[in-house]
Amino acid sequence: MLKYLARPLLTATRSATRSLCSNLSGSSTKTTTTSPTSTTGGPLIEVNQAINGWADKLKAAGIQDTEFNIKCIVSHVLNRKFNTVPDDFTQLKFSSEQLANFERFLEARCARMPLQHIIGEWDFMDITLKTAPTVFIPRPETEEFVRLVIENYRQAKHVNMLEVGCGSGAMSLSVLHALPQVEATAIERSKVATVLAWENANLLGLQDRFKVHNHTMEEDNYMPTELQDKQYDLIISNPPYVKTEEFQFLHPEVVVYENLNALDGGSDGLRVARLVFDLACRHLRPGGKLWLELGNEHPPLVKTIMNLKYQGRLNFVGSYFDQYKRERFVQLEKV
Amino acid sequence: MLKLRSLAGALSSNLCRLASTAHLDYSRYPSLQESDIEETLLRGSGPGGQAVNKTNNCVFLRHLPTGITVKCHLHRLASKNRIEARKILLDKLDAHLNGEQSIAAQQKVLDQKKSSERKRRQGKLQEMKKTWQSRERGENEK
Repeated sequence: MLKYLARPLLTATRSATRSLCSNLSGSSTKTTTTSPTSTTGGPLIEVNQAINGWADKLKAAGIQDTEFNIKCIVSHVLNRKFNTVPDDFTQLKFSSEQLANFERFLEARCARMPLQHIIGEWDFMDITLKTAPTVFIPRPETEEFVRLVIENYRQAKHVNMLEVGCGSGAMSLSVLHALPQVEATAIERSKVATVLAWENANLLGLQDRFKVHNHTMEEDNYMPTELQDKQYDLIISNPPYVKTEEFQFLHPEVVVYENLNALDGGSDGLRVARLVFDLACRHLRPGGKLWLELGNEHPPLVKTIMNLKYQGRLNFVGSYFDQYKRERFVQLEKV
Repeated sequence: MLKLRSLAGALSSNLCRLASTAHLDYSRYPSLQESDIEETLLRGSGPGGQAVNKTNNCVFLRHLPTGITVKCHLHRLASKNRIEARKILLDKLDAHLNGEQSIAAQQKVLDQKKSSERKRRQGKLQEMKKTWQSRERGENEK
C-alpha cells in the first residue's frame, strides 16, 4: 500500500494524525471544563474572520466542497447541529479555545484526514453513528442499499438477520431502527469496529435486538463457534469489493486513513463475496435471502458465478441500481 | 367524528389562536410526480461506493413541466436533502400554481392577522395604562 503514496503526503498525514489524536482523547473533557471560563473571559473571534483563507488552503490541498467542509467543522467546534448553523455564519463567534480547535481540525483536513473522522460522527439514514479511525466510514450509496432491504421486509412478521462485516454497524442498526420486527446478529473481523458497533447500538438504544461477534470469516470457519448451527432469514453484507489494482487511483482519505481490510476485494473484487456465498449456503434457511452491495461490474459476474457454481444452492434473484444509477446491488436466494 | 372536529375547531379558535395550520385549506396543494423531476446528484465520475469518500450533500431538482428549480444543502446527508428539496419544490409549485390560495400565502395572511391583532391589543393596553397613569397623577396632585 505504501508504495502508492507520495512521501511528503504520508509524513504530513502522520503528524496530523498524531496532533489530532493526542488532542481528540482529551478534547471532550477539555471543552466541558474550560468552556465556562472561555465564554465569560477571553476574547471572542468572529467565525467569518476565523475562516478567512481556509477555503484556499483546502483547495490547494486538493479538497473540493470547501464550503461544506468548513461548515461541518464550524458546527462541530461550536457543538451545534449542522442544519442550525447559517451558511453565512453571521453573529457566530469562537472562543479562543474553539478557534484553536477549529484551526487544528482544518489543518488535519488539509492533510486529507476524512471529515467523518475529524468530526467523530456521521449521519446514515435516520441515525447518527460514531466514527473511529481504522473503521470504515459508511458511504451514501449504502443508504440506498439499506432502503431497498427495508422496503422488502417492511411487511415481514419476524426477521432473523445476519450481517457479515458490520463495521460501525451502520447497515444493521439502521434496519433495526426502521423495522421493530428485526433481530440482528453481526460478525466483524476488526476488534475496534466490533467495539464501535456495540457502542453505536447502545447509543441508539438498539442493544436488545443487536449482537456483534468478533470473528474473522475464513474457509470452513465461517461463523464463531456459538453460532455454528444458526440459520437466518436474511443475510446482508457490504464486503470489501475494490479490486487490488484500483488502489493506486484512490484518494488519500481512503487509502491512507481507512482500513484496507474493509476495502480490498482481491484481483476481481469478489474474494470476500465468495466466502459470503459459501457462508450463506450453510446459514440461510431455505428461501432465505442474501443481499450484497458490490462494485460497478459485479452483478452480471455474480449471476454467472451462481449459474456455474451454486446451482441447487443459491439462486440469483435480481440486481438493483444505486442512487447514482450504477448497477451495484444483488439479491440471492437459498434454494 | 365530523361534529367533534368542528367543535374542536370552534373551541381552539375561541380559546387560543395557536393551532393555525388547522385553518389552512390544503385542497389545492399539488402532489409531486417523480417522473416530472430531473434530479442532479453530484458524485463525480469514476468508481463509487467504497473506493471514494466524497461528502457531497447538495441536491438540485428541476420540475420539468414548470421549469422551477430547487437547490438544497441544509443537511449533511444528500439523502436527507433529497427529501427536503422535494418539500421545498412542493411549496414553490404550490405558490406557482395557486398564488393567493397557496398554503404559504394563506399562512402569511393568517400571520398578518395575528400580528395586527396583537398590535391592537398592545395599543389598547398602552392606552389603558396611560389613562390609569394620568388618573393616578391627577389624584396625587389633588
